[in-house]
Formats: sequence, C-alpha cells, structure tokens
Amino acid sequence: MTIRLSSGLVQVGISTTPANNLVIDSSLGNGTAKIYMGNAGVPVTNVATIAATGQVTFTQPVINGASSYVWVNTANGYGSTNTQVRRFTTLGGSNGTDITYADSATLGATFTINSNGVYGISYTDNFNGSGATLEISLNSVAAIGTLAGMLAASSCVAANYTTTAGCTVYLTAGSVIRAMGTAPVGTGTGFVQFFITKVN
Amino acid sequence: MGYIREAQVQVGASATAANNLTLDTSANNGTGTIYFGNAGTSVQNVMSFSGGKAALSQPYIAPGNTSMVWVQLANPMGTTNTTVARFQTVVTNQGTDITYTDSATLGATFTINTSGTYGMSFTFIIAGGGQIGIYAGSQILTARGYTTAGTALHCNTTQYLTAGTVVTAQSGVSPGTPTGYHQFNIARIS
Repeated sequence: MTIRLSSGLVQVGISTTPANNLVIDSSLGNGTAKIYMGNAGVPVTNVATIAATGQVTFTQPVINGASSYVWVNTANGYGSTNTQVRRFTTLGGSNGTDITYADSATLGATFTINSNGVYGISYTDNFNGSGATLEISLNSVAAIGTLAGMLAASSCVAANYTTTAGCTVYLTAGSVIRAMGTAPVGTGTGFVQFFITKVN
Repeated sequence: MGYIREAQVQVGASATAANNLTLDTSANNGTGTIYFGNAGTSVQNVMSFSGGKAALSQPYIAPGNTSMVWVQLANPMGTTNTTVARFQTVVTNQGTDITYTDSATLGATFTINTSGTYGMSFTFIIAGGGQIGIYAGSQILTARGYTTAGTALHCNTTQYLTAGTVVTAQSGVSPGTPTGYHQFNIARIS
C-alpha cells in the first residue's frame, strides 16, 4: 500500500512537547520541503529545507561521518627503484575505503585514490642537506624539479630543518599520490609525517 | 488522510529489515533518527537529529563538486600588477566555480564564481630573498618568506570565499631558477 498524504505532512512523534516531534513537510505544494522539530505545520526548530532542485540546506553545520584518511610517519628511506619516493615506518592511523596505502621496498609508498573527490594532503619532512626539497606528486615518479605531477613542493632552509607542503585537490579514482624528497632524512626523522584525507 | 502522527514511521514492509527506512522520535527527548531497519530496530543508521542539528553517520557526498584549476611554470609577472604571478601551463581547469584568466598586464587571476570553501596551494622559486603569498583581493591569506634564491617557497591555505572574490598568487621578487617548482592550484571543497 502506498500512503499519500494530501496535507503533505508527516509528524513522527506524538509528544506533548512539540520540540520532541519530527515533521516532514511538503505542504507548500511547490516542489520544496522542510524537515523540522515541532508539530505538523508548526515548526519549533528547523533542521533542513529541500529546494525544488533537490538541493538540501541544513540549518546548522552538519556533523559529518568519519572521513577516509591515511596517516603515516617516521622516515624509512626511499624506494630502491623509485629513488625519490619516500617510505614510512609507521602507519599512524587510517579509516575508510577511499584511499589505499601500500608500501614497497622498490616503489616506495603509494596512496591510491579509490573514489572521486576532494582530498587534503599534507607532507612534512626533514632532510640532511641544505635546500633539499619535498614534493607531493600526482601520478608521477619523475625527478623533483621537472614539474611532472607536482601538486606542491617546498625546500628546507638548512640541513635538519623541517619543511612542509600541502594542497587540497580534486582527484579521480585510480590516481596515485606519492611523497617525494631529494635528500636522505636528517636528524629530525620524527618530524616526517604524511596525511591524506578525503574532505568531500 | 490528513496527518500521520506516530513516534515511529516505517517506510517499507520488506521482510529484509535493511530494506525499510524508519523515522524514529520515540526517545521523546528532542532527538530523532532516520535509519534502515524495522521500527525500533536499527540496522544501519543514516542520520540523527538533536534539536536542529543533524549528524550523518557516513561522510557527506557532494555530487558535482569537481571545480579545480592547477597551473605550473612561471611566466614573467604582470607588467601592471608587478607582484602577481603568471603561469605557462594549465594542467587542470575543470568545473564552473573558478574562472582562470591570464593577463600579461594583470597577471593570473582565479575568480570565484560560487561562494564556498576553497583550498589553495602555491609553490614558487624566487630570484632573490623575499616573500610569496596567496591573496583574496587585496587581503593576504597566507605567505612565506626566505632569504636565499633558488629554493622552493611554499604556502597553502583553506578559506571560505564569496562569489566575485579574485584570488592571486603573488611574489615580491621575480620568478627564479630552477623553473621546475612553480605551481598553483585551487579547488573547491564545499
């Protein structure tokens, strides 16, 4: 059976305190709808409105579910084949299925994107050479300084001084992100961190 | 029929509980939940409410939010706006929320067409000691400086920008060498 309500109102809850009831309201009959706490037709607190285009606008900031992320840290040299691709010792944390982290002694660390979206990336490293440079790379293992796949880069001001770079970019499924560097780790290996988080 | 007024409304009568959607305010304390499952027995939570605040159980997916511009390789700066960087290569220019324009006089501009949150990243090698920065109009958003030529300076930021805002990547010093480090990208987050 299909229930079609001519009033355009569904009130979930019959509390005598209206703020305890949830209402779905399409009573305007113009393709829009509202969700609010209150009694049918009498909002107490608006939750969301739905435009005729289908766009949902929440009244307050939405508390989002946990995002996909990978956090690795502590330098572990570079790949033996991809000699500028950083490897990491420790998986500090991860969540979700949108990013696949893999570590290879030959290829270095890779972060493969499994679903289209906007990703925030942050890479911090510490090198033993003055002017050494790190790079966040997209789909490339070309040497740093060639521009191939370079999303962001930064040089350290002196040996053993930490440097960092970050970016927020739209990535398609299948993209491979790498952390790259031009010099061996310095005395601050504990500063070496890489984060990638799906933000939308 | 006028209204449905019940503390639990189950949409669907499938024998597989996960196929039914339930709206539930039975806690009677100003909270509510929407979940897959039979009334009173959640299989998978979708969303919960507390007052007017909604909390999603899974990350919100913003369909169609793909706007991004990514440019590389510095050109000489604008001739009128002498601190505004220019770039030779467009790696990515997609979506409608950002308009990229290159002008020999004004430099490269990234005009925001839709209010929202944007991430920006700027890497630049300068010909001498100085500063680089990312600007929204005349307002500096972030910057970094260094004394030595030939090293890659970097700064990045995430900001809410309103439609009409013009973002520029700026440097107080001309682009230097090596040239393989000049890059700017901007992407809409939400």
